[in-house]
Amino acid sequence: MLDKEPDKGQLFKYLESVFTDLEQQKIALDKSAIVAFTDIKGNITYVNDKFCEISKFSHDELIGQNHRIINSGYHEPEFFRNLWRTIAKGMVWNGDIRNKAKDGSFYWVATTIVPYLDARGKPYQYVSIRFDITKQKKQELELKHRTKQLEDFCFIVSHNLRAPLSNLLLLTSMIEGCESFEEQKLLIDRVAKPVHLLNEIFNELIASLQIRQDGEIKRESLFLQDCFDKIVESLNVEVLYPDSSIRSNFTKAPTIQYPKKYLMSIMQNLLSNAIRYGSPDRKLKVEVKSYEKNGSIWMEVKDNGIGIDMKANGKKLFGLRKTFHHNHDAKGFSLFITKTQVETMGGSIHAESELGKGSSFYVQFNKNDSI
Amino acid sequence: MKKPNILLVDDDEVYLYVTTKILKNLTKDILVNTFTDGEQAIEYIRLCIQGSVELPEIILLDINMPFLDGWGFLSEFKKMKPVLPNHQVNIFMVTSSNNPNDFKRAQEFEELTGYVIKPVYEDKMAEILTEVYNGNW
Repeated sequence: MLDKEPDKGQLFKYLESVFTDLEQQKIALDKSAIVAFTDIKGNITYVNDKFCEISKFSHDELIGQNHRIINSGYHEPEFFRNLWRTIAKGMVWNGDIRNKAKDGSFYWVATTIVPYLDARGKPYQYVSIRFDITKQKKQELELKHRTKQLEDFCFIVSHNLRAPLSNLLLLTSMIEGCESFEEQKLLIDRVAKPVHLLNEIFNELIASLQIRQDGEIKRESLFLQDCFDKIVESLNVEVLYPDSSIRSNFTKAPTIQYPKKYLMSIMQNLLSNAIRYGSPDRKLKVEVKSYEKNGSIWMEVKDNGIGIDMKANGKKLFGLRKTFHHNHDAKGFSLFITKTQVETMGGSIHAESELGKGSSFYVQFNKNDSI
Repeated sequence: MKKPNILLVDDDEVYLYVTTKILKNLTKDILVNTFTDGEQAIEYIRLCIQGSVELPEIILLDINMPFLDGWGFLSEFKKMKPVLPNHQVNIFMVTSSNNPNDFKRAQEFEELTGYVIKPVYEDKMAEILTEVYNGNW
């Protein structure tokens, strides 16, 4: 602190030390954080080098622009309304924001925005101090995804084993309580079915676990059309379903880096499902195409079959042992395996369908860095 | 005394067989009908309304079934309630799911008398009969 009535020399020395301190603090801040100043409308008035580095914009491209230039569209409008309400009142705002760099890539920053207040307590500019947390966010999302997969798997295991187990428990207790040998024999005959079912479910679960562990399986460059033609041939479509029309167009995304085994299996399962659930009322039409959207390769398999009641079954569609029709050889397993394969390779699958009209399955092979 | 009349709705044939057997073990004088999905069961209730067959006093209803599942059956049943003959139908949800969401959803249906987790052993089944028929079965 200054003593009373300083002389000019003292004052100068004091101011110089304050100035040096501030300068040092600014250097320290610029070395560690992403810093920007804006006016009260959000127009950028200053950015430091770290800001340019992460946003991939040059200094000159940013100055004078509104801060919206790096908005990634990820957050709800309410998120930013709340931010603005807070800082306009002169309060500090803290939060994680996903921004978009000049090249379209996304980055996450832990952000603190501090208003500079005038003599009347009104903000006249804002300083934002951010830290790059993209890596942590990625890990967080990856972890959430893994946890969800594990939970799904546990649910599937317990859900599918429970029914045959409960039957076996009932049968056993009845066999124990039986008085006549004949009656006992009748009951014992009934044990075979749930036991075989248990065994089948168990094998299917093991198979799907093996796929999940295959995460590092080798990708190769594949022509979608070639693979699809092989599947059509192997299903003997022309001979077995001569009336059906199966059209494919892979010109918009002709190749993909993917494990051949999986691609073939995904195509085979989706196509044979379309064939199996064709409508008896009309000729089967299947359309398969690939395209690029948001940096990912997609495949769409669309049929005009009997369709699925999505309201009742949509959520369970990709579960284990789910069938949605009275078709007796229908096994619910193929969609579960397909989903497992697609997700193991970092993609996703979903379906749209209308009863009586047909179904469409959408495979997103590789999720673009979509955090 | 009228015979107890029970409807089993479940797509698991082993369950249907064993449960029918348990019911008949408990009392010889009992009528048991079985259906493997909700749609067939609703058709059956329609026949009851027309008076072609007797309405059951107990329905043991599974949740996960093809076509019309347990929830679908309940909503359909709800619609038919105003025209149902004037006697109580006790519907028990019987499921191997211990999913808390299913239980929560079941509580929203006032048409439900109970929620039972499989396996339903003989003593549990006896309890259900006692509850519905006040011990007269």
